[in-house]
Amino acid sequence: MSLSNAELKAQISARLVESGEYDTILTFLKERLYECGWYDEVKLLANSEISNEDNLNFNRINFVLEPKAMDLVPDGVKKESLVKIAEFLESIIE
Amino acid sequence: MSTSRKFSSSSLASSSKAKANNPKSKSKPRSKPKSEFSTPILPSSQLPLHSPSLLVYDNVTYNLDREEIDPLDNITFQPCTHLKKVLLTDSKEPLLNNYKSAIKISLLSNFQRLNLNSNTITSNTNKNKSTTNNKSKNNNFFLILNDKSKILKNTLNPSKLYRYRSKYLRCNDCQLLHNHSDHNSSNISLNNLSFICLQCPNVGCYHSIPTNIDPNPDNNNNNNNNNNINNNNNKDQDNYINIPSNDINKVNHALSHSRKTSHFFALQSSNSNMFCFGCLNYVGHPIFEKIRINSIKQWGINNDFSLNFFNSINSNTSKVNLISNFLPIYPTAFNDTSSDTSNINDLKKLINENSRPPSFKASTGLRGFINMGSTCFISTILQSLIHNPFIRNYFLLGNHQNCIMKKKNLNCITCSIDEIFKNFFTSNSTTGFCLTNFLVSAWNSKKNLAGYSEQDAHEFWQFVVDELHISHIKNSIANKNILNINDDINGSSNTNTNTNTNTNTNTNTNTNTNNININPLNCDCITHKTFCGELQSSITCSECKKITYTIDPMLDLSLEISSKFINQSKKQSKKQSTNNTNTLNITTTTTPISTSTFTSTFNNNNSYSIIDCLDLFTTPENLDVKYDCSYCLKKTFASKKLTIKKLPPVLTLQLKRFEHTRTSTAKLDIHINFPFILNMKKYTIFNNNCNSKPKHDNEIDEHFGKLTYELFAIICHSGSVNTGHYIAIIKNSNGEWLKFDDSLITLISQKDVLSSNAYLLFYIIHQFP
Repeated sequence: MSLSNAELKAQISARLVESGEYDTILTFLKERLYECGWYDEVKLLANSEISNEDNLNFNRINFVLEPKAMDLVPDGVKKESLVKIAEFLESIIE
Repeated sequence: MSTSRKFSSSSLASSSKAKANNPKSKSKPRSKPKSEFSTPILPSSQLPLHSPSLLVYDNVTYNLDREEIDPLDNITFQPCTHLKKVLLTDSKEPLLNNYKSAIKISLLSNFQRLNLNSNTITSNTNKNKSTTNNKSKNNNFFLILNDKSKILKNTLNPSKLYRYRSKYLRCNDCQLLHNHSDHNSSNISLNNLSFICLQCPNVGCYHSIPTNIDPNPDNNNNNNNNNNINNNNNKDQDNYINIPSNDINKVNHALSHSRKTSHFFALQSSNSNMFCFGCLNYVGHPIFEKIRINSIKQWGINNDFSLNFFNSINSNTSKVNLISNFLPIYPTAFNDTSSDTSNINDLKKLINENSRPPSFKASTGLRGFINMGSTCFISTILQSLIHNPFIRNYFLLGNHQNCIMKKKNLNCITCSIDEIFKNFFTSNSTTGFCLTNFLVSAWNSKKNLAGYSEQDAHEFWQFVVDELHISHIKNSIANKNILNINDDINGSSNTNTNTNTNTNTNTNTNTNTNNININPLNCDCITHKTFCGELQSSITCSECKKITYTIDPMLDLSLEISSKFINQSKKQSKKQSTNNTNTLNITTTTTPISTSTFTSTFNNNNSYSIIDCLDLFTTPENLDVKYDCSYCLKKTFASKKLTIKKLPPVLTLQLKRFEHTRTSTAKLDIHINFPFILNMKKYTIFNNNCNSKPKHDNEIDEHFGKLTYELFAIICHSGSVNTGHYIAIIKNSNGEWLKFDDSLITLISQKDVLSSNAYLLFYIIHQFP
């Protein structure tokens, strides 16, 4: 049990991906975000950002939008996803 | 773990081979921050004058020197200076090869969601094998792919393959754990934004970095660079966007890899777009786009997943897959039917010389219709068709050009729709369009439309959609006759074909209507390809409990509004009438919509939604009349249940707002909620069979079998039964909602859309990215 924090994290993320649970959660999250109109909103935000900016560059747009988009995620969706992740963590603890 | 080892060993092989291809890079130490690509570039002065450097790929020649890109090439992103330089060097070959394989990897995700049945999977893997053997043994990605397909062959489990993919597409550096303690937990990237390097097998994660420097300095130096290419050393350094190296190493493994190794290009795994780390931006080029489109086709993205899904369930029904030949989903400049690839360049030249690309304004196709006296029902329906991607692509690809009806100077509604498309998508005019031609041909083909009376939009939709089908049939019959006649002239036809022509001409002249009423499920006209699904009604006998199935084609679903809710809402409407006006005022003032409000509107107390209507539609009901059971041969009471057997690409829902009683008709003007995303799985036959399916199939369903539809157009009616006004609300490709009120088009918010009283709803099949 002398695993460091980082090693533990890496192991968990490896398990998450290999079990396929990561994809399940990701698909779930995407679906919920679509249902609540989050994708459309971010798209509108991005559009307005692009029309304001002369020098287009992915890095820059992403940098500006990422925090805003994160804030727009409804609390309900966040909670639901967290519950799913917690369930997964419960299931792999031995 | 063993697979990852394979990955690294093959990577060594590939990198050594790449070095051999590019002899000059061998001599250079890798750590030197200098582009591998820069070395073999010839100064432009050394190139032979006036002979453009051409690259032939797939029998299509690309001119690499030309600065501007052919508008016909349909590329998503413009090429950057780095990419243009590389394409002039020898390094382009390995880059193209790597791109080819990387795109396959990244497309696997989509391929997964397609739920291809086992046959197609194996045939695809076979194809892969042959390509690996023939072309590139050094190609590490193919090895992985092959490795995967072996697993796939054994288990045929798509979710397992999907898991493999996400395992490979994890950031290499994050996996190595070196810097993990420096990360915030939110920064550990799994495969969300990961980049596959196109020059080595590295996969790196990407996080945006603050840059305050002018991001595209090379755009300005564009021409200078080409001229002074001798000063490569300095120029290439300049092309980088300067970022403090500490920041890069900590959070952006893809970028730090690129800076370390001078590997400029990478493919983003989730959306298969190419990224240039020199510009920190997405780039594209016709050659790469061609490869991408080809591999998309090969991997069957154009096959509609839901239909494949249903075909795999009912393998006994060997119906023609309606969507598999539905190619225009992805815009390609030319249809593949023209097998003479050498002609494409000539054709391109011809088009280039004699045409100009439409302006941006025209390309949106946004234009209203002038109301010519109660024609709003026509204009809303036409708008919903014009902005339906399937219908739009059909007309814009010129599929209705050589109409025989027009040649004979006969009345053809499809031709007048074609004319509307031409006008909408080529002119810059923003004034409303005059429907005269369309009206005349509509009046001629349906007498009760003539005059200026108000009509039902749904009836009119059915009429137009039917006309599209009829003109297709008429044209295909005419074409068939022409072909047969040609056969006769050539003298190559047997007596059999002669009899065929006879029968055909007979049917054409005598019983034209019989031909038009062919089975819509096998019809390949645009109407049935877009709107037609299958409805299964199952009648359960109350005596013997045996079920009789009948399958009917459906173009739309007419949904009843539950009488319970009508009574309920009538009681509440009086109370709420004052409240409603208040809430409306609030919605108009708050333009930025927060998503939390949507959930609140959905959870409204007395909310009644489309979902409830669909539930009502599919609940079993007892038949009023006695039923002759074919199993127990008794006259019994029976219950009937409707389920959807096959979903169309565009699902049309009509709400029965007009209640017809013996004495009068009344309009139900109540608000019915509708979601932006509609999951139809519950109403399909798959839902019923779910329990009997093995676990393995359930697993597929869990991941990929979501039959989701996205709302893209609604038509609303305001006013009473006898008189009123229709408006259309349609979503454009940017996700903005536009309100079409005759000749006026306005932008409205998502919230306004949800608060409208929809009459017709158009949902389009949706694939998650």
